[in-house]
Amino acid sequence: MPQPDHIRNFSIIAHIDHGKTTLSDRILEITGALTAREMTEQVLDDNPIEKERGITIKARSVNLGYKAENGETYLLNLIDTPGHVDFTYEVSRSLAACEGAVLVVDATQGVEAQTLANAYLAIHNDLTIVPCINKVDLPSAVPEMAREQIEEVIGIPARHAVLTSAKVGTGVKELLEQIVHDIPAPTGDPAAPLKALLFDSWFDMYRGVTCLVRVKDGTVKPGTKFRLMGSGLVAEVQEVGIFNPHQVVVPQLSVGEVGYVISGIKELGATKIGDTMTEADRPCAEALPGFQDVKPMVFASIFPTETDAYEDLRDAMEKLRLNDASFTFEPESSTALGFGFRCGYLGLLHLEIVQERLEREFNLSLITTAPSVPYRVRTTRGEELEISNPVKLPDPQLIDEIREPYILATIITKDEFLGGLLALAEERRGTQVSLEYAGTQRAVLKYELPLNEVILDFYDKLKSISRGYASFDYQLIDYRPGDLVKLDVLINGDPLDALAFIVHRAKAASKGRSLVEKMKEMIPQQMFEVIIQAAIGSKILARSTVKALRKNVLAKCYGGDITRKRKLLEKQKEGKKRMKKVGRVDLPQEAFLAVLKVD
Amino acid sequence: MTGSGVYVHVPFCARRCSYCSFVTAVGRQGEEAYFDALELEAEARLGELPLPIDTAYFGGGTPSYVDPARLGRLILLVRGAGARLVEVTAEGNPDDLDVTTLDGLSAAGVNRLSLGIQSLEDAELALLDRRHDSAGALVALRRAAPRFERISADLMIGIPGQTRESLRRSVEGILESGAGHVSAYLLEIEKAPGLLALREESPGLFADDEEVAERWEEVNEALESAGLARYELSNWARPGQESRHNLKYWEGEPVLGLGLAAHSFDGETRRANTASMEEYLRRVGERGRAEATRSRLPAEEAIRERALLGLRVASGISEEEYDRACSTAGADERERLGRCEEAALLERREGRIRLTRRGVLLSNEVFSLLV
Repeated sequence: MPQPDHIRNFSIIAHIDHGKTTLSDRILEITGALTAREMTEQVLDDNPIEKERGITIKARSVNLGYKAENGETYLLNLIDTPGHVDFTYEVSRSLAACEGAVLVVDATQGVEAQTLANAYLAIHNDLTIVPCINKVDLPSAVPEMAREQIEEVIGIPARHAVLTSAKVGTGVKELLEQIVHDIPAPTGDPAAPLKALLFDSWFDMYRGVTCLVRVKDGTVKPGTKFRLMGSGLVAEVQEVGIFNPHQVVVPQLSVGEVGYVISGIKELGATKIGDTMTEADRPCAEALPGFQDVKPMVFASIFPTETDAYEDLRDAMEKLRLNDASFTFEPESSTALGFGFRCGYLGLLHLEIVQERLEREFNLSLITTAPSVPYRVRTTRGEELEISNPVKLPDPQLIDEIREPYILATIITKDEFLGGLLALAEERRGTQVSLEYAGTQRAVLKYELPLNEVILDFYDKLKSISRGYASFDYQLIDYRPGDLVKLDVLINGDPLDALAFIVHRAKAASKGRSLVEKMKEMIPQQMFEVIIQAAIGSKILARSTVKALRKNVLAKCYGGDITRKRKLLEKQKEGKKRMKKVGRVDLPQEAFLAVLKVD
Repeated sequence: MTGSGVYVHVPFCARRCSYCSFVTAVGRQGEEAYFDALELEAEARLGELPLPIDTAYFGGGTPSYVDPARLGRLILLVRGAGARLVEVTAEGNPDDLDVTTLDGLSAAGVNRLSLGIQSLEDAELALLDRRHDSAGALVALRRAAPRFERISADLMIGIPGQTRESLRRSVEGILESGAGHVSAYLLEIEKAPGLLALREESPGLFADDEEVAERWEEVNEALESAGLARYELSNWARPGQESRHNLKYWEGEPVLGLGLAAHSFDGETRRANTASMEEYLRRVGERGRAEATRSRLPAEEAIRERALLGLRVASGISEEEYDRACSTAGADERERLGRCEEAALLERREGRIRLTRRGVLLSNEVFSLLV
């Protein structure tokens, strides 16, 4: 049984692409957790979409044995964290299970927005930070610049920051030594009643729910009758174990240890992340602080392209939610698109990942509508409504006030791009909070921005203005009144509910014009003319027309070769099937997201 | 129309046209061996075809490019199998049609000549990589007229640089030459790399869909007022000059296809020969046949295919046949077919349903719902 003073629990935090996953892999390799044969790139990312996109979505933990230079063997629990702003809440819950964090900074890029955001999360959780400057093998690496920025932008000492190249393996051993040396050992009372933080859980078809816990006090072992203090759920432990990274059964988990608990629970809903696990018969005095509920801030509807796939879609969503509690959905019915679901996401990346998983893992063809943020509406009758679907916005004359969510955005950039980024933030109705220079040529820009100006394409614009250099992170601050209107899109004179979106009044006309032009490019010619209009109420702001198709006929069908002709016709038939039929009009999937593609 | 037909593929060409996507070989090398094999295949397979056999068709490639006597020997074989041929067509390239070749084809038993004129404008012909020029085309048409019962001319719409006027001149020239049958096709450039490159370079030479549709309407108008009725999607003829052979494809009559990549249909099963010359020669030498694929549609699909092909013919199909085909289609397709009628692509009249003029140009909108 590992002694608490020989345990180190830590996470690795970094801005996206600064090398966190590669560093994790290297640590696994050096500690011998995996044989060379087992070593494949990005071991911790076991979801194919994570691998393809090079990002980490779900946190995982690995127990590693490490023989330090002082001759002692330590148990290192590496708790992986996601690196994207959409999943900040997953970072904070991983951090709550640790005493320390390795802060990775790319020596060629320096401190970026998520470096800052994640570092603050760690500081907020009272963690000891071990700075690590990575990618020092690259010719463009400037470790001194990174060191200076860690001190000036984040405000933590970086004199002893370890220089590593996770790719080639240099410095990783030194980093492990520093982890053992600097990060405090966990403390706790092994004799006290069980007190463990539930910081991740997932569903398995055969085993039911697996909970990932960090024991603070006491022990947990098979037969322990436990209670989750928040949800009140009581169950008996069937099995405890660790990941090294293979799943290994152990007799018990005690103070400072991180591992899994299986108890035959069938519903993921009862195991809320952040809950405290204690003994049912001998509860601890008070629960751990837990986490705030994450609220989805981006909403979009999903409809099956083929109406009869609704049940399949619901099944798929339910399965997906078993492993992604932050994804919410409720049934929705659209006059144009039939039955579907209104879904809530943490952000746009989350939306894309969910849609991709639904299409890929469940083989569904889907229409996703343009994303929206939740609005708070006070009606003239004094009701307070939360509107996450533009379709549900009351008539203008019934609205007293609409408030929209605002964020505090942090943008870190080279100063040469500052002009363009300031113009972008202003154009997006932003208010500058601060502009500070840190180190040479590096600016930290803070803006308050309406979230609805950010969710669609702000990030892409930011990246293109700064040629990829600027980084961005945000946190929600409050709701503020705005002069907002619902922009309707009409197809052949009929409003298409799923295309409506909420926009600031001053931008409605130009947005409407670009939108109808963009949709005209996206909608293929068909048998009938298609008229696309943008309108506020009965006032038409813009119009475009897709002319009726004049010609779709094959050349010579020759020498009785009907088979070749059939193949071409079948291709056309399949093309139509992939589109959504709205009245007499066939709309391709991308037309529903046209608003994402306009300025 | 009742009767079977024989199709013979002649893959040899003097050169390949820029828009061509058929199985062809450049030059006459191997002609003897190929025709020897064709005769073996004919002897082995003609018995499969139900009598009466009333048409034969030599397509290509360029049948006029080879020795007419070899066509004659095949015609004799077909007759020997009990055929009473009323229509024997050979496709021809104007450039090959000197008096000797024309006399040879006529002597061989060909009574209908289908000429790949395409255009009577030199610049347009050059872009298509045709061997002949306008003068050559007119000479060929003039020489052919007295030697064959019927002459058909191919016409291409949508050639780069083609204008309303140039197209009108081509149509008039063809009509004046005495051709009683015209096949007019819309040029497809998607599979012609040369033409695609040209479009990159000079997009102005290419008409848009709207203009091509107008040109087609103008051609239709000109041909009909000259007394050639449109009897199929792309074919116009004076009364009695329709291609009996090609109608068999649309009406589901049996056709035996001989030669490289030739297709056969016996009323139920479609067969295709191999497209590899080497394999064709070897397999026919061994056992008289060189079938590469065979497919038979499930009953419901066959019903829809019959309707799809029948709708190519101007007189259309019976409402009963059409409705039966619709009843086998999926709900989505049925609804879309309803929309095709709403959009006046299809019209019902006197118990029959047919494509309208607009429907002809949008025929794939209908056909793709029936596959």
